[in-house]
Amino acid sequence: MTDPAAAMKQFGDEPVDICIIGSGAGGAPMAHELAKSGARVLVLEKGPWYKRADFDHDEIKNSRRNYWVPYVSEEPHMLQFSADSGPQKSSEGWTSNCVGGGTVHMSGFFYRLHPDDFRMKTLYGDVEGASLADWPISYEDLAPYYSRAEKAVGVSGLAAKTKYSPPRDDDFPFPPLATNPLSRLVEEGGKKAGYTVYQTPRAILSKQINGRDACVYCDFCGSYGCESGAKGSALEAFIPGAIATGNCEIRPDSMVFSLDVRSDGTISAAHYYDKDGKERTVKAKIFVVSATAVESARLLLNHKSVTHPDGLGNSSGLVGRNLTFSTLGKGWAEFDVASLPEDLKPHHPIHFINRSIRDLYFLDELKGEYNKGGSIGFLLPHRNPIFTADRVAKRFTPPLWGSALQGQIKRTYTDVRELEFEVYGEFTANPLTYVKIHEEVKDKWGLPVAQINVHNHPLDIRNNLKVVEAGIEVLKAAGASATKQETVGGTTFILQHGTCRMGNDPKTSVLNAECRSHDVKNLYVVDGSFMPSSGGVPTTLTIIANSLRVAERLIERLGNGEFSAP
Amino acid sequence: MRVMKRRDFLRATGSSALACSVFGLVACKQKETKPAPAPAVAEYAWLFFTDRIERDVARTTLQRLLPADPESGAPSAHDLKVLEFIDGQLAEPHFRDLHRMMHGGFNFIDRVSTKRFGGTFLSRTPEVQDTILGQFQTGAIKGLKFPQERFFETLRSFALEGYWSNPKYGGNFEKKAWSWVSINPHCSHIHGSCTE
Repeated sequence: MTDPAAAMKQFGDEPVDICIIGSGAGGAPMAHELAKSGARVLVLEKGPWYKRADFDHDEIKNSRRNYWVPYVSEEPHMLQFSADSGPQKSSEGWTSNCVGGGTVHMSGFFYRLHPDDFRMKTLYGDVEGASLADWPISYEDLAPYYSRAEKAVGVSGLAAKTKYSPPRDDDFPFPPLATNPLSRLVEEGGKKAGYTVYQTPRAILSKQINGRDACVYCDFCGSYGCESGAKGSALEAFIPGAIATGNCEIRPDSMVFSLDVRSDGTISAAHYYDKDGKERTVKAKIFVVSATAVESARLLLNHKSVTHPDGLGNSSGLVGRNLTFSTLGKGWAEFDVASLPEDLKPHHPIHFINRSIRDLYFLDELKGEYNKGGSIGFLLPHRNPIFTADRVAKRFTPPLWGSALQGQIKRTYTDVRELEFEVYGEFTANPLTYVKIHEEVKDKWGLPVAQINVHNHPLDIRNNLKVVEAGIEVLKAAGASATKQETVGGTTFILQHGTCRMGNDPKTSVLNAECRSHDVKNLYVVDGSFMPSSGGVPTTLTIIANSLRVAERLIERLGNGEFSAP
Repeated sequence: MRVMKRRDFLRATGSSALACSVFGLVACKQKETKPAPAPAVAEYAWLFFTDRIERDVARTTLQRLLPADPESGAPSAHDLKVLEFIDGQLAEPHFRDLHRMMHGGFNFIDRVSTKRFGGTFLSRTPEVQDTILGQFQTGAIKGLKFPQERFFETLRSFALEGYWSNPKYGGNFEKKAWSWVSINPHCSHIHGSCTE
């Protein structure tokens, strides 16, 4: 593959039409669509630009150090759980800092939301301790962009009708990926337990397309970059096309630290540190912020001026508020090889299970109450060897070591087969979960860092437990010799939403339905910040689809000459 | 850096083996008739564990955490050069903050052994050594003004890394951990191609 950056447009210090801050699931599709329309687009990305040749299976590099996420000593977040006495430095709340953002090291579970996710307030009314809101758009508004996003990324799957599947009138663009025969156990267990098991849609090519190979089934998706280009990261699906227009420059290693605001309240310029630490400036007509829900809120809140005294675009006081993640549940099971059917006994070269259950998206047994559950995704444990040894050790309390650990590790690789599941549950927006600026702690550039306050709503924990119990029920019905509820009511920090909630009323939302700031007419925010609710599935597909939707409106407005020259 | 040199040496060895398989046995036999002199093996120069006693305490501790296990066939932390891996990691700038705790931890292991278990850590039986380490793990040593649990957890984490990581970092010598359980994380299952 040729380096897409080799013939890239270089704007130098020229003003551009659009400056996009962040190049992940929100920023990259915008760059692609706007550049394709003829607009001059400059993308500032704080992280480096990795290429396929940089990607390998080195666990130390990819999973244990700062290849994707900064060291706490250099760029901490301050993490405060509601029950704790004070915030602690943490790397939670970062997703991958590189061109392509979190999509580069994602697993690529590409589910759509359910239509009722868009009308949580209408559905449930006032729930104590929650800040529910309807979206200003419906599932039907987003559905065409879901289809476009699935095609652009290359989602492999099999359309299936289950109880709470979102409606769709087309097949997935690519057939399902091959799977490990152990997936049969999940199907059998699901059937016995009374659930519908279906193929998990993955943002991974099952067939080759131009410039991208089909999946080679190396099994290193989550936490790793894809060396074949099969994973539909923004790095593969959007960046090369954006550059090929000749209208887009990607500028890596560029940390934006402030925005200039005119007397009319609009932004005129962004200031950033380049790879050498030198201060540089970009002037543009429009600024699109897409740096994750935590970091976008931080950038806006760190800006205080006469026209925006509480932060940029924050007349509602809601920038940073209504932060949501995904409520995490996890379960595990092992099956004695000796008791498995003969065809399931050998190790199989393919590691994907790719089976999901969505029957508990809404919990029927709690009908009439706040019954938002989530979805279950079954998988084989990651085959990272350090991680494997550690999770085997940590299945015991305190963690195992010595001969006992060595024996358990050998047994794990030889005598048993393991299955896991993850639950992606609703993380209900609430007043105690938000981002604010920690005024004393600063990062390596001297910028005040984000403090992340987290409170898991008790009903999320209650409902999450029920979904985890269902997952365990499936694995037991499949013949597991041992099972364990590993996590209930946890937090998946890499899925972030809500800190610039969109809505029709400027008093109760930060962005309008086009993801444009109510206050700052040339400011858009297109990462997960716009989402009023988290949904009960991973949300990367939704962020991409929304970005395509927003880009379409923005191109119309640019065409109408609504934005003045910088 | 020394570790890099060794990695380069291993890579060179691998290339040579590959050449034999590609160009056939004759070429290899020709090489065998005129063997090159064996390269001198440089003694490892310690960067963090420069104190001999501390190094021996650390090595023994790692042997207890990840011992050879005849029943499962596991190689030991010593076989896999886990201490060398940790030494190299602690020499990296981003782990400087850990130096005080790590030096303190091995010092305290020896002191606790001497004061409460009747002799130096190295002189105790494996069973007693395990008891001492178990107490560090659970924070059970009363009156010790030291983050014993955090130290143990940090060491446990480094030990697993050194045992199971890519050998280029100085541990998992000759990929013996991966060989033990018949894995190679660098190879694709379908095509058998490796990314090393």
